[in-house]
This record gives sequence, C-alpha cells and structure tokens, in this order.
Amino acid sequence: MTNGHDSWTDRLSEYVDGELEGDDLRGMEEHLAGCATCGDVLAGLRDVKAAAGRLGDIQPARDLWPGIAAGLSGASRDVDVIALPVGGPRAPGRREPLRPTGVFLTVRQLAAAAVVLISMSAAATWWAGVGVATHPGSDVALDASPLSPVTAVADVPGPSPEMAGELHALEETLAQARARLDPNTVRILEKNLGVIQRAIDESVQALAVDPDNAFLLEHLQRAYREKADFLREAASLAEWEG
Amino acid sequence: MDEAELQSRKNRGRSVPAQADLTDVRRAARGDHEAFERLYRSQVGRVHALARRMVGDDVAEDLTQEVFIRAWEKLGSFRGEAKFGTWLHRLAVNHLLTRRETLRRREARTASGEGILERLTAPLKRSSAAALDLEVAMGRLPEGAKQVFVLYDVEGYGHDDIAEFMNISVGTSKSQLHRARMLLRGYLER
Repeated sequence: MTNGHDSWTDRLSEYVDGELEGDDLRGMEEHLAGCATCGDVLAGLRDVKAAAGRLGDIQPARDLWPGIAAGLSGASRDVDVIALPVGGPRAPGRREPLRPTGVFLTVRQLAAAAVVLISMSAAATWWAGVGVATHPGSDVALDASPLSPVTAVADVPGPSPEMAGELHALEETLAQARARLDPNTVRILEKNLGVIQRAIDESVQALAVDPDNAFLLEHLQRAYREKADFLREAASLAEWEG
Repeated sequence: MDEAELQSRKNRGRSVPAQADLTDVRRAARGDHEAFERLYRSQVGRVHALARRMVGDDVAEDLTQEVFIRAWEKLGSFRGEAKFGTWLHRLAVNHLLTRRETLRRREARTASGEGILERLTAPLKRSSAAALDLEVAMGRLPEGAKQVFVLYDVEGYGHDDIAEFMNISVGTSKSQLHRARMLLRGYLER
C-alpha cells in the first residue's frame, strides 16, 4: 500500500458522513473506483454507522426513582436564593427592622440551618414553650434526637463519632442563643426544615430497601457533611443576631 | 447527516409530546416531585443508555441518578427554547464527561491507544462467531474514541457540538470517530 492509499483510507469516515466536497470528493471516488481494499473498508464503516444508528434506549435494571426522589429534597436549586435579614451586631435591647444587608443564604443553606433550630429542641413542645429540652451529653443520646433520625434505623450509617460530637457541641451553643434570634429568621429557617428533613428521611427509607446502594450512601454522608457545615454557619448567625 | 435525520436521531425513543413535557417541567420547577417523576420516566431510558455507553455499565445507574438530580437543580435555567429531552440530554452529556474524568483518574485503568487492537480482538477470537455485540465492543474502545463515537453515531451530535463538549478540536473529533469505526468494523466483520 502507498502513502496515498492510506491518506484516502483515513478520510473514508468523512466520505461516509458526506463531508467531502469538490476535489476531495472527486479524488475519493476515483480512488474507490480502483481500490477494492478501500471499498471493503467503506462497506464496513457503513455497517458500523448503520448498526450504531439502530441502538436504542436502555432501561436500568432497577427503578432509580426512589434514589432520585431522596436526592431531590436535599438538592439545591441554583436560582433560588432568599435574602435573609442578617445584620451585624445591634445595640442590646433594640430590635432592628428587617433588611437585607448583603448576606444571603441559599435555600439549601437555609434548609440546613433550619435543622439547627429544630434540632435545638428535642421535641415539638420546645416550640410551644412548655420547656426547653436538654440534650444528653453523649453521642449515643444525640443519636436519639431529631437531629439524627437515621441512626434509629438498623444498618443505616450515622455520622462519624467526631462529627456527631461537633454537632452536639454546636447544638448546645445554639440552644443557648436561640431566644435571641429574630423571630422572622426563626420562621424562615423553620419553614425550610421540612426540606432537609425530608431528604434525610427519604434517604433512610431508600437505604432500608436498598442498603448497598452506593449512591444513596454517598448522598446520606454528603447530607451529614453539609449539615455540619451549616450548623457552623448557623452558629455564626446566632452570634451575629446576639 | 442532514438536519431532519439529525433531529430524528436525537428524538429517537421520545414518545412523550413536547407540550406534556413542558407542562411537567413548569410544575417540577415549582417543586412538584410527581411531575418530575413523569419526566424521569419518559427520559430515563435514553439517559441511562448514554451513561452506559459513555462511562460504563458499572456506574451507569449511579450516574443516571446524578444526572436527574442535577437536572432538578438546574430546571430554573430551562427556558423552553429547546425540547426538554434535548436540554436534558446536553446536560447529561456534560455531566457524564465531567464525571468520566473523575472516574478515570480514580480507577487509573485508562485504555490507551497502545495495544487496543489486541484487546479488542483477543477475547473475540475466543468467543463465538455469532457474538457480534456492538455494545460490548463499544465498551472496549479507547476512551476518547468511545465518547466521540457514541455522541456522533449513536446520539447524532455533530463534530462542532462534540468538540465543544469535549474541549477538543473538530479535527480531533473526526479522527477519533474514524478510529472508533475502524476498530468496530474489525469486530463486526468477525
């Protein structure tokens, strides 16, 4: 074979796709007219292209929707940003009017921070003012709190001991600061509680059915990590509000 | 490939009317999970097939889930200029190519061009002559050639789109396509 032959062979796909024009097209057709080898290659390439065009959709072997549904609740919407009235320190005893001050939290951040507030209470009675529940001072006790409902399900991994300890410490800090938070801030955070709580619950439910699903496990662990991140932010928020 | 053929290829398998998609997209953008589930059911076969062919069977289901969650996050950016399936497909291609890079670095078992012919042909010589499975052969292609082949010959994208997706030149896209076809031709002829 000559170099000229190889150069035509290398362009056979372009010929198959109708991309050759003018002298290139004429040259290719002249070469094909006298080259049986390239004719065979051309037929093979056309067969490949045709076979690829016949390939259809492939349904997954299992229903992926439960895992996706679990992920939706914890997913952030890129365009959803809510201005949160977070100001700097204010004079003691004086309520500042709500106003945006350039500090914005995404819905996901708000949702995670909502967990902070709710987790400061050990029961709904906390909101009704019946009494302030205290958190037992151990990781085991933390597992039983609303903050970590997943740990109530057998074989579903909870946060690492280190993370659980940090969560607990932040909870205590925030529990002490909660009364000083602006009611509107609390309302916004509380409103978003369901979002992240649903993500956790649905992850747990999905894992109960499919405990080896790597995607769900990663999703749950990511939720824990995000929760820790936002707990820290919420602690800062409480400091600002205080 | 003319425009009509391209659209036909890209719309292959689409049985849900575009208007129904658009209604569900609007609902889903407002947080309606049921509407998004309908969109998922109408598109999952196409996205999953793309994931299997571009990245591999072992991670295709996880990546399919990631694509739909990513789509949920990005629904606000869907303006309706294109069909939802087209928008989703482009999002999926971008996500899969990004994740492919991550997976490739992690697994460190990239198929280089060297010896690919031997890898392609050796198992086939041991298999039956009837086992002409294009899907299997595609899975054994070198990475770059595989992505371009799937995007061009299976999914119907042009070289300009593929060059943009993969951050390569149009010439590279064409040469990778030819390389893939030549390797697969050898397989189909056995």
